[in-house]
Amino acid sequence: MKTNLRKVRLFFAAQDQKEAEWLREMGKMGWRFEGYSFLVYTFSRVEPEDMVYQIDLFFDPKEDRGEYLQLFEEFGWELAGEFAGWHYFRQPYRPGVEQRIYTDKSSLIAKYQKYLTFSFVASGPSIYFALIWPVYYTSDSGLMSLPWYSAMRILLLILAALSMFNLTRLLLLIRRLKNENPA
Amino acid sequence: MAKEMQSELPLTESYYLILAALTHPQHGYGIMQWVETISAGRVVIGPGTLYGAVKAMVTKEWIREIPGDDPRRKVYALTASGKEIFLLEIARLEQLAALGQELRTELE
Repeated sequence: MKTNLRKVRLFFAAQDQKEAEWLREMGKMGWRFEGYSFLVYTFSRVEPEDMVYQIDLFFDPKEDRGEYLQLFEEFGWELAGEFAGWHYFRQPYRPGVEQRIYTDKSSLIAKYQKYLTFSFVASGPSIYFALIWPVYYTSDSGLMSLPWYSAMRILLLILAALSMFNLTRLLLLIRRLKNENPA
Repeated sequence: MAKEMQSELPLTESYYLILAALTHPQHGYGIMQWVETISAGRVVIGPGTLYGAVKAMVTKEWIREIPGDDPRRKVYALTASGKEIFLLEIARLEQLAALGQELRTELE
């Protein structure tokens, strides 16, 4: 019987609750989340379990990470995976207990604003190389005659489009949260 | 100074209760437990909210880290400006509560 599973999935940053919900459903089907790297989720075979997942982004100075993880641990959250600052936490489902890591509106908005800043920085290069760089620098450099140039160009355009879609979704989510009743 | 501080008001409920908790120095998890007890379970603060609030308040210099026994569990205490903002918020809430008291008899 298969004991490991890899799944490719694309979630945008604004969809982190949906992503967490999907990991929970996988656990219910007997697949425990083991890690994430470049769109690939790894699972291992376990007895079906009901684990709640929460995702957070940590990009504070390195020396604060110990305190950050310690706090989550004391609150009963186990670090299930980490990739480029994205932290996946889990704990067993407990009915009637608050299991969100962000418990008020203003901190939730701050979290998505942090996602936005991070995504903006992370997607800068793809947007630059796909849209700006070719216009100014490649026309006379002979780069365009390379056989893989158009393939690379298309790949970069897809990446830039996804990045911009990601940023737009975050902006819309933040705006929606701000328009809701304050809490 | 006081005017500058007024612009920070109102505090969120989480901020208010974290400042209240730090009237006596505590570490993060202690803050959460105290808040949950004092509010009879009405207010629960998650670790993401707590971590962010503590970092923000350290930056604003409303609280500061003080030496503790365990290096992994940082202990925080109110600073002078932390006390000041907390007292300003109490005064604001008292004013609102007094108005509420007055109007309650009329409404009930």
